[in-house]
Amino acid sequence: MTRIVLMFLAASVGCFAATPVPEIDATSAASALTLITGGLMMVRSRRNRG
Amino acid sequence: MNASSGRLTEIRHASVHPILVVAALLIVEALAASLIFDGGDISAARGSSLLRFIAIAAPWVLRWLIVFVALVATILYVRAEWRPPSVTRSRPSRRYAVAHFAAAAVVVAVTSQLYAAASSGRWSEAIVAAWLTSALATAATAFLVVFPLRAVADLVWPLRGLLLGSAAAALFACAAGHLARILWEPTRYLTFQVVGWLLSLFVSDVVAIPEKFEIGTNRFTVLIAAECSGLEGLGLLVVFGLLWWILFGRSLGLGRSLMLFALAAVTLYVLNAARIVALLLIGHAGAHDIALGGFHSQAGWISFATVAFGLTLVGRRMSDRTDAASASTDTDNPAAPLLMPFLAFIAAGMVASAFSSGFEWLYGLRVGAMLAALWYFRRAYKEIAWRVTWHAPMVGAVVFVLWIGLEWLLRGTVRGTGIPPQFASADAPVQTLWLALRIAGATILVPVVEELAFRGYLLRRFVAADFESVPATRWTAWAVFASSILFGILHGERWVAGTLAGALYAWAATRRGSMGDAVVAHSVTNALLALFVLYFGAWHLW
Repeated sequence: MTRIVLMFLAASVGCFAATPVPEIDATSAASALTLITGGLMMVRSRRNRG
Repeated sequence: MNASSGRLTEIRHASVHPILVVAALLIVEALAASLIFDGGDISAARGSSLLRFIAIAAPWVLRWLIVFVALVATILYVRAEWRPPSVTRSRPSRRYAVAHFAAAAVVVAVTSQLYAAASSGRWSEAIVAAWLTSALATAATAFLVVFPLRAVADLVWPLRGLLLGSAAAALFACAAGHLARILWEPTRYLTFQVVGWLLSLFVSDVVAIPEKFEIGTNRFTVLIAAECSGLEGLGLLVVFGLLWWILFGRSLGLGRSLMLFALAAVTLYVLNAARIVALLLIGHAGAHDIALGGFHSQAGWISFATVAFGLTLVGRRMSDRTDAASASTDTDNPAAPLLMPFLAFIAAGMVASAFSSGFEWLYGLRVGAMLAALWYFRRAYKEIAWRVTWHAPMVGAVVFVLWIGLEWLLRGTVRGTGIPPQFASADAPVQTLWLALRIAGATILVPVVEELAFRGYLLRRFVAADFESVPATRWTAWAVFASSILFGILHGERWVAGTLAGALYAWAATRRGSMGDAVVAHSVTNALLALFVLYFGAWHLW
């Protein structure tokens, strides 16, 4: 249930945040999202030795 | 390679794969359409009510689609065991191929009517409706040439809960997000006050006109628009927060996750105000172009990325302390040597762009960042196969031809506007140094870091969650498609060429299991592009 509520909440502001503004051009957005996504993948792949 | 529970099979057929047949067909059709209709003007089509409705609805449909895809992709990524079942036909469907050609012929005929109606000014909604319908039919039949409906249903049905939930969430999102705009004005006023207070710590003559939301110094002022209030960043943080919670936060518990998120939100809001102050100080120092150009567009994203990383690392550290098993053991990260150089390249690029005004003078930052990361992880690269075969330069040349060809096909020209004026007006030694760094970066370092990330990690990760166990020659259609699409998206408006390039580099890498082949192919492409840019003045390709 918590996941569903959070999913709705996040998706709502996500949609709202997709409003185009002069300062958020596609290039800078793509770079930032690539950086964040790649970082998440890297942190997630960390594992314990032994 | 035999099929096993839900895993895609490696395609081994004597005939050409149906996807390649359809891809080639669509390219030929696009070329023919471009040659037949190039130069036509249908700007009068704005008179169509139907097209006006589509123009209004399209941005919202696009927002819904982005949120929907992001939710589905994240949850499927977390479900490491999920793989798409094989859904393609073994041979292209002749019946749907015939239907596709018929639909394409209708599109050509109706498009001719569309251009005629535009030039005469006499509009018929029926022509527009027929054009849209035939275009959809052309796309649908092309899809059915490769993918049987029943197999697609087999793919979608097990995911119906996820797809319906994500679709509903995205729909709710668009409605709620639109309504949330009423919060922009009050937040804008608060941000104005915070910026004024912060700025007063650095300069004594702060200019603040609350009625116009104008703020700055006696030399440089800006207007704080509603979009600059910081609320959009917080909105993005909420989205990131959910994805972060799905990926990492569940082990932390909801209470601590919310506490961390609240801290991140406050930090991001303060950084937004600090960003505006920094912009004002840069403008006050005389660098107006940098303040309003690169810094304006990059600083917000740099702040957001910093907070997102901080949230991830702190959350991970807290989670490790909670988990007794991981608290006392060392950790390693097999993906770090493959991803870090690429991430360093992206991060350095953002910083370099933030201090640029139309021309990236600080490209050397990217070179330095890539070199530093590659040097740091140099021992890990000894285990990678780096041998090169003669196919590699050929693949690189083919990609170059495709790149230029698609540029001409989609834009009608490959010539740019010539040397950028900022570069042309610089001293010769500066130009020489910049060019040396640019060419070295593009032809040597960028191919290495991008191939390590996309073919060395991402391609194998899409084959199996334990990517280290995936042999270098192993590939699946899904892995090639997904990694190539992401590679293509990275190249912005040239995503089609980027996707094709990614697929060809994937072939080079997996053909004999050598990263060296992919790197050399990529390097040859970039070297040929560099020559093209310098010889024809096509600097827009850089």
